[in-house]
Amino acid sequence: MVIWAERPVEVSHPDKLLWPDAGVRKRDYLEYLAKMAPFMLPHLAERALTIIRWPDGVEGPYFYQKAAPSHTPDWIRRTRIWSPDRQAFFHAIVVDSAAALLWLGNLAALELHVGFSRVNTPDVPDVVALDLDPSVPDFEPVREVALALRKLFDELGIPSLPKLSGATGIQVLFRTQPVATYEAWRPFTRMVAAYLARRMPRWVTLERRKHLRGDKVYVDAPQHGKNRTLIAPYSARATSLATVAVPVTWEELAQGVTPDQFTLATVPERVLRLGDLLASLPPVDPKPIVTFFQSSAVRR
Amino acid sequence: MHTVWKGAVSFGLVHIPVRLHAATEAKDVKFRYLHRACKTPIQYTRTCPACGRPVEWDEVVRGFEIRPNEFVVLEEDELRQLDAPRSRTIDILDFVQLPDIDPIYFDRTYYMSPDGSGAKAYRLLAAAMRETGKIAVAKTVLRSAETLACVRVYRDVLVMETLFWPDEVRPVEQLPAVPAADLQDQELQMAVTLIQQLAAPFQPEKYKDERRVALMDLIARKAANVPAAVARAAEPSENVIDLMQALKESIRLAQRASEPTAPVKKQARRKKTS
Repeated sequence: MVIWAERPVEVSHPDKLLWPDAGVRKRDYLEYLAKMAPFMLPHLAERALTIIRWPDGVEGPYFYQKAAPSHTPDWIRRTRIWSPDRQAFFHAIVVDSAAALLWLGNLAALELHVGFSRVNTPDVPDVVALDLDPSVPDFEPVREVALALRKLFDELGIPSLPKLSGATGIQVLFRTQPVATYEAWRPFTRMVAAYLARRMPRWVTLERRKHLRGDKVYVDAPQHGKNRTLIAPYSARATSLATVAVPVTWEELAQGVTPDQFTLATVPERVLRLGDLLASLPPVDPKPIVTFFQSSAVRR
Repeated sequence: MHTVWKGAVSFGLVHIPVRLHAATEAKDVKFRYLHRACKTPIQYTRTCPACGRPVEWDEVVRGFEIRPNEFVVLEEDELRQLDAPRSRTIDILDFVQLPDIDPIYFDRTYYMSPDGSGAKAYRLLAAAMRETGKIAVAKTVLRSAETLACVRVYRDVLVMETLFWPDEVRPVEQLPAVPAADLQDQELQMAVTLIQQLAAPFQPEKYKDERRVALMDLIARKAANVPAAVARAAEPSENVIDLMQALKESIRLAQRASEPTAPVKKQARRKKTS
């Protein structure tokens, strides 16, 4: 089968079941990507991609890929990136078209993860996110922590949105003008996490080691870093229900939405109706925040 | 707006004096080339290899190469004589529908403004063209070249689009063969879905030249001699609640202060001395 996007994309085994429990075949996943491309592309464009592939569906083995596979066709855009771990350059995929998205779909790249900065300005994020990671299956603690974070951001004059990760967590994020480095943001994200831990000691932990977190929500401030990634908005997740990472409104979160409501089957209709919530989030000017942390009051 | 041409639109007995102004400008970032050692802009010199000496502009003439190294020399006067008869008018030849002209023909766009007593006639032509939905095909002489053009209405203003001559548009037959293909219904269906999903009204504001923005930002930072803001690591300690309060107040003050636009230079200097 061939799909004609900006260019033809060859599709192998269109009837393979990728999410057996949800009954989602590869052709259904590709149809999701085709419908969602206009909403997904702005969040993928100009960013180095990390993919997780499940060649035999979500019940089979999986592997991460940061470097473009050797058989990547020439028309897929790549960017050269230095890997501090491997002390070598590698070429990461940059998604710039619906065709590239469909090509990834054909590789059974079910999860697409991206960083917070663009390839031309790798040290300067244009998104700031706090990853809230629950330690037990209950969604209510992470909802409470997210709503507390919203209150804090509102008081700081920072317009933010929650994104359900599609797995168990929530990411609270805001957009920023890309002028301050990750290092410049770090004292801020660290202080926000410390503030939440201080205000909600029963629900928040800053403990990185999983077995010491108890039933608390881990506020992962260090995840906002140069070589870190988060699940891309509207990317599918390899869960049995075929859930999707999706931004929701604060009102929806307060009224009790849960991640299982947002799946490959339901999200396209929602997004066609509401548009991309993230697109209307105004970017924040980081200067007052960064300047504050440079002042002597904080250093003391 | 700078006037690039003065003349008149002419058709039948109507004569509308107008000026032309460039309607578009490319915003390329222009670099100058410097001698790396001393940062002085380098100079180009015109030299004649036969005489072995520099040549001034008044010693330069135009030549057309008829055979390798064999030239017909054309003096300025001779060229100007060719232009003389028609250079001052835009002669309307026909009125056609805009979709009749494929965008491949469009070259440059000029705004027209009425000159002298032409305002009424200008308004009349614009109104009549809007009423009929027609645009005019015209000929004129621009920068000493006979030019095909069309005159149309854009936001109540008459504009002239210069057009490529038909023989300047390369025939598609020169393309390497585009093979015919059997399209399956399914494939076509998916392609139609994609197009419908990507369909949107054309909103030029939403497309930005991101490389230029990044480049100008880099230049501004280098000019101010500030690397992208780097903060010293602050260890938020037990007084994090007080600190958060201080941050809230600091942001509020900054937002109030920034309402009348703060000059960029001042801020950069403050950062350095703190």
